[in-house]
Amino acid sequence: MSSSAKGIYGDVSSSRSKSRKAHFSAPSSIRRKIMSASLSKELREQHKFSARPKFLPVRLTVTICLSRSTTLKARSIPVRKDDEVMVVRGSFKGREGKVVQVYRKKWVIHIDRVTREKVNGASVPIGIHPSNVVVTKVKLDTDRKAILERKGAAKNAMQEFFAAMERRKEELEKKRQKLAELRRAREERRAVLESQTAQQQASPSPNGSGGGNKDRKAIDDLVAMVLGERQGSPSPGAVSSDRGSDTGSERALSRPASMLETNIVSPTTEPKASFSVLTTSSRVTELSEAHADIIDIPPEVFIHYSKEVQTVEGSFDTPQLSEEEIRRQIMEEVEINERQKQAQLEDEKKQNETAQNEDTRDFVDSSSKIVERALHETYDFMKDYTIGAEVTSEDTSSKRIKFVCDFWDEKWSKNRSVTDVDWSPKYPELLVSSYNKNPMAVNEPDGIACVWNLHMPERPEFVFHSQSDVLAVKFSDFHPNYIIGGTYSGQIVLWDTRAKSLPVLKTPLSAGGHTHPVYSLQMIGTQNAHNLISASTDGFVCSWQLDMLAQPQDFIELVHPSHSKTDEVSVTCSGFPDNETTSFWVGTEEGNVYQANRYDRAGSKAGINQYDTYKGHAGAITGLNFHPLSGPVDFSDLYLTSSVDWTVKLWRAKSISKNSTHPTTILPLYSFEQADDHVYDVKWSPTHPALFGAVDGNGKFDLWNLNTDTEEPYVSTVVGSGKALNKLAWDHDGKKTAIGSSDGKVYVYELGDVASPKTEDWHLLQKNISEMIANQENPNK
Amino acid sequence: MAITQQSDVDETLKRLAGRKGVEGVVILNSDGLAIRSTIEAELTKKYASHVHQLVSHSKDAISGIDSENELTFLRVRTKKHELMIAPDKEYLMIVVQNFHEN
Repeated sequence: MSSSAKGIYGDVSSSRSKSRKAHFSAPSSIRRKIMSASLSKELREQHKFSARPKFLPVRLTVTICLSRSTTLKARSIPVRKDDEVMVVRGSFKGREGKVVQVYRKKWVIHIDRVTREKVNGASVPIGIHPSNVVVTKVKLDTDRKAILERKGAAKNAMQEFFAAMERRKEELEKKRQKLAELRRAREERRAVLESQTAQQQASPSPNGSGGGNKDRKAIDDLVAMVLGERQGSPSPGAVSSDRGSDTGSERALSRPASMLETNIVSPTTEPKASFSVLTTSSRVTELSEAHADIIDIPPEVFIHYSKEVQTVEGSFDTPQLSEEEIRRQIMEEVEINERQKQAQLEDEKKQNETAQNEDTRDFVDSSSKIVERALHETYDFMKDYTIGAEVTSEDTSSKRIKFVCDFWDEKWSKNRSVTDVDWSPKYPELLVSSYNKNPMAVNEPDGIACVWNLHMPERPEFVFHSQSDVLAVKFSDFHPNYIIGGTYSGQIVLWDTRAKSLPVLKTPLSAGGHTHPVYSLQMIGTQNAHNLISASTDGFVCSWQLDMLAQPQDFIELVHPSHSKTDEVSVTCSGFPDNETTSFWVGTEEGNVYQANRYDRAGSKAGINQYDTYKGHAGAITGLNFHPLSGPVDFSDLYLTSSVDWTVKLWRAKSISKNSTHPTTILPLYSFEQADDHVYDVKWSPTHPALFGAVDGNGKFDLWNLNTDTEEPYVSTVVGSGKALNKLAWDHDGKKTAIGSSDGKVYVYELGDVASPKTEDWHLLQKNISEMIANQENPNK
Repeated sequence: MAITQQSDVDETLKRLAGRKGVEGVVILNSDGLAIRSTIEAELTKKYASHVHQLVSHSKDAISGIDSENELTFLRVRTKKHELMIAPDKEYLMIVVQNFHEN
């Protein structure tokens, strides 16, 4: 704030209307300050103010203050562009990003990726008030450094101020004590003086001033003794000093009491005595009789006494305790105190231990992951090649694909099957696999998804839970942290690797979304405008926005009126051609493939294209994959399907622009009939134009190269134990494949040379395809 | 709950210690006391005292070079072993690896 006397708006008023007016009409320069955001805890620690030398002499007192309020640092800073912030309130809570703009006029900041989509696909930033964010990374330039330092210094000055206050308070206290002591001393002196006179009054010596002098001397001695005892009594412990003052004042005070009594009693017998206080030289002997031992301590004295010295109650009852006894008592007290303190400490320890358990677990979990990854590094970077090593003959046989590792976790993979696998688009070593229910473990979630790291095959990097079997899983292409799952119940769940194992978002289980199993998930679009397209077996196709899964952005229901009993189209898989976002192909349970549109377009309605039927499979289609667009020749109209009829078929999609007006049946270009079981998945290699892989129920992984052979697979491998293989996924370089097996394992194979395309492969494939087309048109030739 | 957590930690350590080339795992708390260890007490003590010092020195060194920087992991290659040290605010994990076995 600008100064301590004035607020940021100038003179301070507490009027509501004035405050509001000042706030809303504040100029930009003041808005800058108002639009401050607090610093994250880590940053607060970092930008601690380091005490300058001029503060050094008083550092000790400052440290005392520190225990009260531990801040000695800037807590907030005016937000600026390029700061990195995290939203901590509101529906975007947890989002992190760079500040794109500080919109002072609107009182908001725009954060990178905190946006929403407009109907036309453009994205607009969502404004967030800076009080709802914490700064996680300050864009540091000299000015900002100065701000932080200055703020730290101000805080320090404040601490200084508090410290000074404290010190002054202490001084005052000391002064007050001194004053009290002085007062007490004065009182004592008076008491002694009075007792002196009383003694003189009561002294039995019958004659002369000489005797009186002697007496006075004795009294002086007594006074000296009393005073001496007071002053001489050291006060290391509060108890002993209290005791010392007890006895001193008791003795001193009991005397005025007796004197007072004398004065009251004496007038009845001897009027002269009333002047005795004033006359100090001559005493009357009769008065000695008036002074009696039987006098009780009058109540006022008692009150006076208890006011003067504060002692423990017991000290009145046992004033004559010997020093040793007192010491023993103190020791006992100390011992009891100590014991209590120890017990307390132990309690605290126990509490801490339980808290630490959680901490320890988290720590062990995270750090062991790091270590395991580091351990997996097989290359010894300290290797000394100058030292001769024994030559080991490397097995460089004709094995063209190499088993890398399998992913299996005793707890999570047992009794489950892998339903889908997908590689991370950002991190080439990560892949996610989804699993169905474990019938043996009722307490565990039905569906799970595990993220595995190639560098740590022993256990999953993350485990995500779902209430229903997960049938399809996918890394978001545009947010490396998001993982999307399609479930048996029809819910689409979104997990975040930064969050815990439960989904951060999920679609509702209602007519607004899917109510049938979702086997197919596709991401389409670009970084700024993308959608998730999901299809369920009742023919519903929904498109979703990832940050708003409460309801689909739009949906279409695929129906085909020519079906005999029900017009439902049961979608088992779907595929978009590369570069296409509105038109897609679906594989169905009855074996046909249809083309469908997401939107109305010239000549065709949204929904299924009823005229074109891709007929060829005799059983449910399990996989549909379009040729990836990655080379000099465009094959993006080619797609492959796998089916439970033991075949894989190659198709050529009809151009969308040429609409059919009457029912046509399109036959496959080619059929690969080498498998002797259900073929569960088929995928093109992302880099090699003629290469694709297929997995089947016999546990076989077949690699086909259309340029070498179309009758026999190029490479055929039995994977693992020979259990049925459910899914296949190529990594992004096309060098590795991950295969999900029904025994719960994910196998990773490296393909090596097989997967790297040669330049002539494109044209060779082009030639082969045109041959196939020719064959299809003239089957007799 | 606490028991399962405990066994979770132990299991992770056991697995880590059972890996090829790993000779031992020690976990220290912030005071440099070993709270878990898979190697004998005498050696654990030695590791605890020396590594704790090493880490605090390293931390100082790093923050001395750049006050915004922080030590996250430490690998120490020696003639016989490799020490992998994962420091944290509260704890510290030491893994002793014999890389010759690899």
